[in-house]
Amino acid sequence: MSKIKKGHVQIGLFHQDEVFTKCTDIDNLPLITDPSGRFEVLAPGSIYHPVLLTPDQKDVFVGPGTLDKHEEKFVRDLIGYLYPKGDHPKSPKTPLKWGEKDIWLKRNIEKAPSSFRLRIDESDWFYPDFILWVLDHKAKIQTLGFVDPKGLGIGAAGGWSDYKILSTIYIPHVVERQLLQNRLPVDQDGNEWQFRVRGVIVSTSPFDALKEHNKFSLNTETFKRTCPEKADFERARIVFQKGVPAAYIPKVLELLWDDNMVDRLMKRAAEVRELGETFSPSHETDYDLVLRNSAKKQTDSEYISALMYDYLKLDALGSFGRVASERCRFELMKSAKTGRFGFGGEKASHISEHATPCEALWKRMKEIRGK
Amino acid sequence: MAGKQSGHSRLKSALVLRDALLDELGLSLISCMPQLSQVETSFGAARGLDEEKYLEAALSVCEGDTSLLRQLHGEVRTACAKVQLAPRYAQYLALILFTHWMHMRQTDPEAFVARLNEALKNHLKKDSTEKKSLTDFTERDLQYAAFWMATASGKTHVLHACLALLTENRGASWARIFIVTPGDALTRQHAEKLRELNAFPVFAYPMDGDHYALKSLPRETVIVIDINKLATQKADEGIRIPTSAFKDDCNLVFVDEGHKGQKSELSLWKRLQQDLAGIDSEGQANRGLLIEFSATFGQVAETERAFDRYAKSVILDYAYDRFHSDHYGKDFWHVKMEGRGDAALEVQDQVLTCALLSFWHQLGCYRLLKSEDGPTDNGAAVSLPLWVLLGLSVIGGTSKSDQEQTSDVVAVLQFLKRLLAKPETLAGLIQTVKEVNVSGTDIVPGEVRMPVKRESADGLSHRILSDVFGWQEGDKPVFRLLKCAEGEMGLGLLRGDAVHYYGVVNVGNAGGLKKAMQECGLQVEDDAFTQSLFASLSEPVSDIHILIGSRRFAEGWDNYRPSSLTLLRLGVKEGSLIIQMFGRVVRFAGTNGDGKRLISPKPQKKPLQTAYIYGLRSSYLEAFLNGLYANGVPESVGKSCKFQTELPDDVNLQSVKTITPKPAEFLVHIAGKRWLGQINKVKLSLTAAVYTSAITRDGVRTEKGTMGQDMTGEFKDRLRYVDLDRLYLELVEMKRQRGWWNFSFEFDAILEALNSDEYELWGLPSSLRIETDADLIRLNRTAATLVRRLFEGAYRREENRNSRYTWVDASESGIPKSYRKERLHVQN
Repeated sequence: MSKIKKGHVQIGLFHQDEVFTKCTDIDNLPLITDPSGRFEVLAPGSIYHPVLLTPDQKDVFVGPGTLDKHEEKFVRDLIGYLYPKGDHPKSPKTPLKWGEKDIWLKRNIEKAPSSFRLRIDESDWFYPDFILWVLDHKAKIQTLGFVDPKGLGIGAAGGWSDYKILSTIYIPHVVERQLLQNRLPVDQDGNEWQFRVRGVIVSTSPFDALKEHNKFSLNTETFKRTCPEKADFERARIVFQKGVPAAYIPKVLELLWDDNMVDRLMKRAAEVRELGETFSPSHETDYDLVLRNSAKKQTDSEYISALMYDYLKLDALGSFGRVASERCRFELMKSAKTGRFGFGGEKASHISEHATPCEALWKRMKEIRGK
Repeated sequence: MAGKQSGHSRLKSALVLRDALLDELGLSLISCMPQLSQVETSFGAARGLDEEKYLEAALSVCEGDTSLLRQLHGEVRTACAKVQLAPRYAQYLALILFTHWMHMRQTDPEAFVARLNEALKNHLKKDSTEKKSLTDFTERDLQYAAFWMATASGKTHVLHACLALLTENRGASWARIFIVTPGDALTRQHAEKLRELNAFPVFAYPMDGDHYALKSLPRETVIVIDINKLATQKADEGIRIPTSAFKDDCNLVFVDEGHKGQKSELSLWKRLQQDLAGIDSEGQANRGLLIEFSATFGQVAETERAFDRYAKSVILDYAYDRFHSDHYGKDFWHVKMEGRGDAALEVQDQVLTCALLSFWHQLGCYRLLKSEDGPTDNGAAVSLPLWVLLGLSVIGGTSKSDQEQTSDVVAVLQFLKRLLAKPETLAGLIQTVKEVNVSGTDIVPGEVRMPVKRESADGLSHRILSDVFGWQEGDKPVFRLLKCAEGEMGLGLLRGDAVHYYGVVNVGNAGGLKKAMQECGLQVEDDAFTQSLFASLSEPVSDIHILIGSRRFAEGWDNYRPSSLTLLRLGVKEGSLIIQMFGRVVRFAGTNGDGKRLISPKPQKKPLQTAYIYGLRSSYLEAFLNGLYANGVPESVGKSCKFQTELPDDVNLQSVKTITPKPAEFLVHIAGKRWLGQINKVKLSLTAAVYTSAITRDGVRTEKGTMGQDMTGEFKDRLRYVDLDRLYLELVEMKRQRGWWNFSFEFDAILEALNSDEYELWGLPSSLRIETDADLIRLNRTAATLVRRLFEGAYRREENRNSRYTWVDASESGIPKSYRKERLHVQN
């Protein structure tokens, strides 16, 4: 029998395509909300297309910037939350809408020097997976939000001193301070916009698995260690990825847009670290920040992670910074007993009821130094 | 693929006969396999065949003569009907290709050989790697066919269908039909299965009669015979039959476990098989057929010079990688631990403890499942778990390797004795598993780690001793040779006068083992009454949970119980044995015997459809697993495409970029210890390596982890052994290599670094022993690494201090220009 001549290529009963020999017409790609087995998809609001997904087949490779399953879910959930009825924008160059605000999305490519990246001390660079610009046209505020879905069980070996966590919580404030030395960005009409940088880590490890990790335990006002609550993680800009978009996306957006007390603390901490002795404290937490900064030589990582351990947990009455206050009070007591810092003869009850022990300690120390 | 290919992937990428057959039918494996597999999933095997769904699917991707495919389908269907087979998709394709091959070699062998050589030429044009290994096809090659099929993927059924095809086609023209097996057990099994079909007269030798009876059988009788019952020459006495008795006939010979007999000492087996099939016979009429079946051709082809023949005779491969990705068999979780030198003994204890913990977990899941809803769940049956420890092929031999293997088994028995004689031993070992710091991966699977974490070592050890061994306070461990069961030693607990057995050692030479044990101070007694414990493993209720043994049960042991496998010191030489044992342990009954695992089992079911495999230096299995998905000769189809930027028109999105300084823009000088306070702690791990492998839908995922503890204090105690001058020179060299001319350091910075609290060193306790020159070198290397890491920290910190963040337009924020999509067309 002679060799059979090949006829036309048939397409097969189930699936077969020319995906690997042709560049796909971007307009005809499926949306990430329903990829239909494709790895090139469109994501409404993305500033470039296609968005690439991890292929189901083991022999297919695509990149750069391929989203893994958790990252893909995050984008799908973001769209799903903003458009629960599925009426998301379909045309290109259209932002996602969050109330009055616009959201633009970018898959951030790692290890590219011009990509968005952060680091603390001598750490490696942290390239967050996504940039989410949140724009308020009325108030003229642009937030460069970054989001990084990550398994924190293994992915954050150092717990509260992990460089990715510290880069998310603290470094944006350092960045903002540096940016302020330049002119504010302006729009086409010449109006100045306020510019913010904020990040969120979306933990793909469930809360229950993480809370028991020693590396995430926190200090209480009685100087004991305790497991963190979800709210403590959230204060540290860590949100847990859930099955349903509405169960976590609102928190992600809220954190990108609104500052909480830890952010305000971090903002001041960045000032303290930069200005050192010239920083003028004006509040109990400021005094604590200054005291800690002048107590010993330490790296940013050490300084900030120590703050995390003390500040993330609120006390039983919901007050912020109680652990720090109690530390200062403890120092005051100790000093009163030993006569340090010009103490002596103070009543213990006076110190134990003092409303601003950090301020008191700072003032005493300053006075002594002045002498 | 970088580096040397495994035998598996090397052979996979060189299957020229398979590719030529597919090509002649206008099919390609890449398009055809998914189509057929989809049919099996959607319609089931029976409808796939009877309602011609398989045919439709194959036709839909056929680029050749569709009438030929239809004709082959018809013949395969008839043959399957005769042997009552509803073929799985891979079996179907194998039979289609085989039928085509059968016709081609009959109708015009000369032209067929010419076409095959053309195909070989084309293959070598695309991939010249095997140019020297692959020789031209000759008519002799048409006497060979081989099916490379995973254990439990149904090779016996394919054998039956081939038998039907070959007898239907040439009917009485075969002088004799043989199925050659590697042992009596498989002879019985084959004969039994053939009889069940009621389609062929069967004669099992020597069970059904002597060689006189054999000679007078009608020619259509299928003779099942163990290779050991064949001889090249006439034997004086006994049951061995010389192949010369069949010399002038044209015989059809099937060989099960065809990989056997390739080693030089066993080449006799090959010769016997070839003589039987009349390979190279002078008379054309006497040239028969030799058809081999094995799961491990890839492994033997590599080491035993059979590469060329199998590349040119494998009709289709359905080896373990495809089999597993089609959801057949269990999942597996494999961990290999390596500890060198003195750490080896500690690691051995760790391996055995972790394996015991994992097995205990399986046992617990089984009991839980059974108490809930019986041992089936959605129809998928699970079996009572069995822990198999494999560490030897020869017991009591005199060669160095035999003695090592014997000592492995003895070491396991010593381990068991330690646990059972002094129960607190296990609590101590579990405590180590609880405390040992493992990063990157784990030494036990996640589902086992949970109870280990939750429960106290003491509580766990008591539960394990009771659940696995049936141990009670006061029991004494005993080892007893079973006089009623050859080669078996019972592992038992003596309670009063009665012995209760929890395990069995099944080896070739139990006497040799007894001697080796006694030399190591283990007492061995005799038991004159207990019947075979090995045989009792097949009973539905059994207290035997542990089997220590050898290749005696690697083949033809039809049992679904093995659930955990612990491999001791096994090397490449034991390759086929490991793969076969692996095949046993991943066997799964599935739903109504379909062999498939559930895709989403309930949590207590998952460990029962997972094989836990622990290895001490089991690098062969690791290489095998990785080789499963290694890509042979990858031929990729791919395209680079542009990303399309879609930035808004009405607003300037701003990003932030970093500007890092050039070396000319900053200087780093370190001296004394002040610099150490400005950098973060460095953590260095010199721990034992742990490798785990598991199969995911994307292939084998291997994770590497470490095991060890904080050794910083111990390291500092040994600083006096560090050669500081040498260390200084090494650091100068590092500076030069990196071009850090802006970096300088004083000698004292090294000393301060080593004496500081700015590092942690993690390792196994034995890693800091100083007894030999090699230990000293290792210690110095560790010191150099630590100081280098600290210096790097100081340099990077300064670099970071001089870095700046600035605005950049989003259009310049690293939007990639293009992407690449690629599919590897693996020649498989």
